[in-house]
Parts: sequence; C-alpha cells; structure tokens
Amino acid sequence: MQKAARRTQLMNQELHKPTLRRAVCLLLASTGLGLASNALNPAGLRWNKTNAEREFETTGDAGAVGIYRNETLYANETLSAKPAPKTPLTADQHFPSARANATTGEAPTRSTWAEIKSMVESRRIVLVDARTRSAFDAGHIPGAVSLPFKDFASEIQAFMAAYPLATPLAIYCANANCGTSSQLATTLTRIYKFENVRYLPGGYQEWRNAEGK
Amino acid sequence: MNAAKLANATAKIPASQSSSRRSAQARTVQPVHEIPNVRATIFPTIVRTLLAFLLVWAGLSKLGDPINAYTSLLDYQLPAPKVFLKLVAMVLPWLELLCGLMLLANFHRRLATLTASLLFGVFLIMVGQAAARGLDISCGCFNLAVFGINPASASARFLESVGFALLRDAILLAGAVYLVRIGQPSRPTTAAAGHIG
Repeated sequence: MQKAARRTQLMNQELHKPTLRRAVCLLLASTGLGLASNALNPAGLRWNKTNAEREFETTGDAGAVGIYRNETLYANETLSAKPAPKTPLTADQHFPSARANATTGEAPTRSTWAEIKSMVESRRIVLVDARTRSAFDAGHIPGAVSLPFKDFASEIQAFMAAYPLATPLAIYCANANCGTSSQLATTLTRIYKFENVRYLPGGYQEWRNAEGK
Repeated sequence: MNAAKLANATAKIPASQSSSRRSAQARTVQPVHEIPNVRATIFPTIVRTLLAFLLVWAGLSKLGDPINAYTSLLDYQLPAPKVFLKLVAMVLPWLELLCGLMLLANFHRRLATLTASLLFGVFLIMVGQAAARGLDISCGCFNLAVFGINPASASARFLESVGFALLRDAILLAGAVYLVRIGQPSRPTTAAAGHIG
C-alpha cells in the first residue's frame, strides 16, 4: 500500500513539472499574442489615457446649468433632436427587447455606433452625452444632448421635462474606459423608468474612429 | 490513433444493440469488455469537442472586439486596477483560443484540460460574485451575432444573462474536471511501475 502511494507521488512529481512549465509557456504565449494583436489592432485598447478621458476625469465642476445652455451653439442639433418622434416608435418596432426592458427592469442594452447610426441620422433616437459639460463643449456627436453624469442631480429635472419616458435614448461617454454611460443608462431605466435606453460601450471614441473625426 | 479508436467504437454500437435485441445467444457471444471501451472514448471526445468549440468561440468573440471585452469586464466591478483588467482583456481571449485549440487537437491533454478547468473555475467565481451582488450585467462571454442571433433579442439576453452563465459555467467546469480526472487512467501508473521496477 505504502509502496503504491509513493509510486503515485513520484509519478505526480514527474508529471507536474513539465505541465507547470508548459502552463507558464502557454500563459506567456497568450500574453505575447494579446499584447501584439492589441498593438496592431487600430480599434484596440490603449494603455495611456486619451485626451477625452483625461478631460473627463479632471473637469468635475458642478456648474448647475440648464441642460440647454448650448442651445444657440448647437441649435440645429439639440433642438431638432429635442422633440420626441411625433409618432413615438413602439419599442417593438426598433428595439425588440426594449419592452421587456421596461417591464422587468433589466439592464439596458449595449449598442455599437454602426447599429444606431441610421436611427440617429433619421432622428429616431436621442443621443445623450454623459460626459462633463466642458467635454461636450469641446466636441460631441452631432445631435447629442448633454446630460453630465457628474451633475446628474441638477440636470435630470430639465431632461425629464424635455423627453417623455418613451423616448428612445442612446447614451455614450468618452470611450471604453468610462463607465458612466452604462451607469447613466441603468439609472435612467431603473429609477427614472425610461423605457427604451441603450448605451454605446465604445463611446465618443468609437464614433470618432468610425467617422474619421 | 484516437480517431481509429473512435471509429472502431462507433462501429460496434449498432452491432451490440441489434444483437442484444435479436437473441440471448448473440448477447453471450458479444464480448463484454467493449462496452466500457465505448464509454471511455466517445463520451470524453464529445465533452472535449464541446469545451473546445465553446472556448474557441469565446476567444474569437473577444478578440474581434477588445473594447467590448474590456467594458464587459468593467461591468463585473472587480476590485482590480484598470490596467490589470486591460491586460486581462488582451490576454484572456488568446488563452481561451489556444486552450480550445489544444483541446481540439488533443495536444498536451493534461495542460489543456487543467487550463480549461482553471478558466471555467475563474469564470464561475466571477459570474457567481456578480450574481451574489445582484449585478444585472451581460456576461460578455460570446459573440452571438456570429450565429445570427440579434444581441438585443430576448433569447440573446437570456444566453448572456448572469443566471444562465452561472449554470453553463458550472456544467462546463464539471466537464473540464471530468476530462482532467480521466486524463490519467491506470496506464501511466503501470508505466511508472515499469520505470521503478
């Protein structure tokens, strides 16, 4: 019995060493391939922070300003985007899952820019910029309205007054590193009961990459 | 060699079934030791292929969209620095892909099955903590659009839901651990005995 136990122990030692070495090799290979492929991928992740991200983090001024402070600047964009579609699209028409969203209070849907581009252009969905006002002023997706997550408490009243709960919303923030778009989307869905909310995980950066801006 | 074994085994199933139906006499003729042989080759191969397919699919899904992989990871709200999560988002897809290909090719089986167990174990913990904290997130495991499933549809939401991911990861972990355990049958012991002797 003891002999057998020692035998299996020896066998395990014999087997484990190369397996461990191979495991390290596998991990190194994955790391190398991961870093290389990401570096080569134009849509890959970036280690250093982008300008938009830095801006997003540093400008946290809680200037309690109305949501349409930039009405004159972006009159064409904001105002035409402002009224909800005359015949509010039923959720099922464009967002098969949105109705379930409203009733069960599930997490909002993710979207890519390519998916909602045509809807934005035909004004069937309202783009909401969750970044700070100064980031919004520095540049935003045409048609977007500003609802800074940092000043959410002071901004939401005006937003609620302007947009009925059935308005389809698409929320974005700076880039894939910011979490405010999903937070804002969840807040608007769960607490404020907006029925048709999605967010763009790729953010403003995704739009810039896609449109070459 | 494995393929030959498999073909051999499959060829014998209908024979054993039909013979057992035909007469008791035929059953006595049928060698008994071939039934465990079928169990020992076909079932593990099915499990291995399934795990390999899912790992390759998961790896390719994340490779195609690193930003989405990273944001999915952020959604789990893990207490880890963002730089580490970025590294994970870059490395994990390749690890999944390589592990899946190794399983599929039966290459370094012990390492492949152990890595698969580790991956599914980690996934289970991650999804489990998300479920325990009540995070309502999509698991970000697979790119469903590859198979023509609209990511916004109800079925896609179910497939990517935390609850389903929990169940799926538990089953896959069980499959991977099963493969690890059958990966060292009595044969190496005799080989080791031969070494010592």
